[in-house]
Amino acid sequence: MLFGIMLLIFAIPDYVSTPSNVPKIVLSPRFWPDIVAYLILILGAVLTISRIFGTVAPTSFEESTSTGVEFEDPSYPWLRLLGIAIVMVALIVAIPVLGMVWSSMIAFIAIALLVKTPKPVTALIVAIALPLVLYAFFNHVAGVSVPQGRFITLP
Amino acid sequence: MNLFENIANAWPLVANLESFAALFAGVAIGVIAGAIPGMSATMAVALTLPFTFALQPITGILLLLGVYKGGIFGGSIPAILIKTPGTPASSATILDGYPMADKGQAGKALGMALYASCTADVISNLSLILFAGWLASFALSFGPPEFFTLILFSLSIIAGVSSDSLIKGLLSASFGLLLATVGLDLVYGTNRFNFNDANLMGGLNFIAVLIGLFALPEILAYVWQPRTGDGTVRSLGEQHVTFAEYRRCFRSIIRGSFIGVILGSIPGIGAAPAAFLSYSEARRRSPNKKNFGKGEIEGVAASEAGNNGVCGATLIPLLALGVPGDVITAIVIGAFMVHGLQPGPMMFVANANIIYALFIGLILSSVLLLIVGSFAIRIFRYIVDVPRSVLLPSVLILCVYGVYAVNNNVFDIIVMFAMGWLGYFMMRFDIPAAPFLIAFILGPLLEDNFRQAMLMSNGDGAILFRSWITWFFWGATALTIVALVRTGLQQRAEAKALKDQLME
Repeated sequence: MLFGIMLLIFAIPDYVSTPSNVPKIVLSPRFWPDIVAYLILILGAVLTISRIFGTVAPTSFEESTSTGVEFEDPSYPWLRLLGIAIVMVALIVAIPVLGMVWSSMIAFIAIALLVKTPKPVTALIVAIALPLVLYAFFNHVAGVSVPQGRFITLP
Repeated sequence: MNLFENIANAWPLVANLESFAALFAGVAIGVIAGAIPGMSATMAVALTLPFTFALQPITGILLLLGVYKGGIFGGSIPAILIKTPGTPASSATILDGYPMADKGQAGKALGMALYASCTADVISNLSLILFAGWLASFALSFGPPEFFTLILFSLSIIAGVSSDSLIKGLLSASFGLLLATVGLDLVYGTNRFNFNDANLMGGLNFIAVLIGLFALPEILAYVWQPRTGDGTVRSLGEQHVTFAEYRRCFRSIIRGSFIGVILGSIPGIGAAPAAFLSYSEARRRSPNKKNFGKGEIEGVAASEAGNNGVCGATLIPLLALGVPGDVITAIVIGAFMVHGLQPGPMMFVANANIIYALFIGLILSSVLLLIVGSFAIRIFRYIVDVPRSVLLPSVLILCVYGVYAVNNNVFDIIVMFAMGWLGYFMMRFDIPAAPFLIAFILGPLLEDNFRQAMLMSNGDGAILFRSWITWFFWGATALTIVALVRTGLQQRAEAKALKDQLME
């Protein structure tokens, strides 16, 4: 609901340009985003009201995770999520510097460590082989210019 | 041209090693991916999409359709052997498949699942061939108002049936529509939410959006709680399905196939409801109804016929109207668009050879499914042993390469990661991602048809009610919403009654 309000009073007026010569409001570039924003506002309001007065309990973030399945490592899930977020950011930053192949290898190993893989040797082999195989396919078969980085250039 | 001339023209496109290999590889990838718990058919199709860019259009699309068909069957293998459906569509197969495995009849259950799947697949493909052309020729008379109301109807039904809550489905679709407005305006070329960034001028890349939404949330969910394993793999046993058993289940298979065809051709319903409906109909009509749920082979046949009956039929609205019926066909539409093809009635006129080549390929895929499926059943033990801690980082790397390959642009990887987090939190809060993606894909079409209609009528809204077709879709939309609201209110009342009972 708040997002709908934010769209209507801030985002649409500031970030949707409308030319002055639009003959009808229904043809304006703003018309469709406005309609969607009103839809979000109304649906948000209905959802909020049904949460307040409804009989169905809201989906709790913690509750939704308790599925009764045995987990290897139930500790620090938020830290692991933070970890993978850092891996993703680092991967984006590293691609132009190290190249996609080496960045992917490092990202793979980082994720495998993050989830404490019980098969470290397999993970290491796949971490090295998979980016190389994908590089070979996309670079040599599909004709995609895979970023090489500044240090090591692959054939 | 008639049907046979079209088929004769299309034959050379399929009758070559490349197309055949693509179809075979697709079915094999799909069966394996579907059989791995945690990998879904949707994820497999999304991950295969970037590999189709380098292929001929027909080869690439056949590869994806092979993955789709293989994935839906593959899901039944873990459903029977480890009581974990590989894909949501196989949930109904557990009901009798796993009890059969418990009795040492896993081989028999899997054999029946395979034969029922292949039979349903053939029926579904034939329905597609018969109805898609007819529907497309009818849709040639559609103008912008008709397409606008059709898309509105499709979106409302997809939003309504994708989750338990109509509001959440509609909210998800609204966010998809909003995201689709990013980029330059279609008519005036002015900026809309692109913050003067050149990367956003053309809108968000939809392949990055769909891979982010449907592949990354699984990885994030695994990182949140890394699971050890999915249970004990049952042995196949010595018993195999006999022709007499197949004949006994034949009625249920045919009924289930047609249930799949009907539900599959309606946008948004999908394979899981078809499987459950087919299962419950088989139970209702079977002389062995007491055995259902305890290891009745007819139950396995019915649920597998139901979910595979959907596969060909979901392509009817896609090919004939250009409207994807579910998430997988939404991904398939991406393959068409990447190759400069726009599914819809005009494609039957301009690219009829491609359409009919697809039909031939689909029929071939049923035969390949039989071969690959028989083999996959035997090697399942090795498939399920793939450690998730290696599989899911591999998926992430595949996603990164695949999304980069679309435009050779790192920005698309950023979009994919952002969508992955969005998809993850949507999954955690039970907000369905399917309406979001389909609204994102159909959003520009919806807006474009609306504005074209307004231009035609000089802004007069009455054009949206100009023909019986528009009235039909307005009526169908209203009926869908009323039915879904009513069901929601009934469920709410039942939940309240149950709560009151528990309180007492």
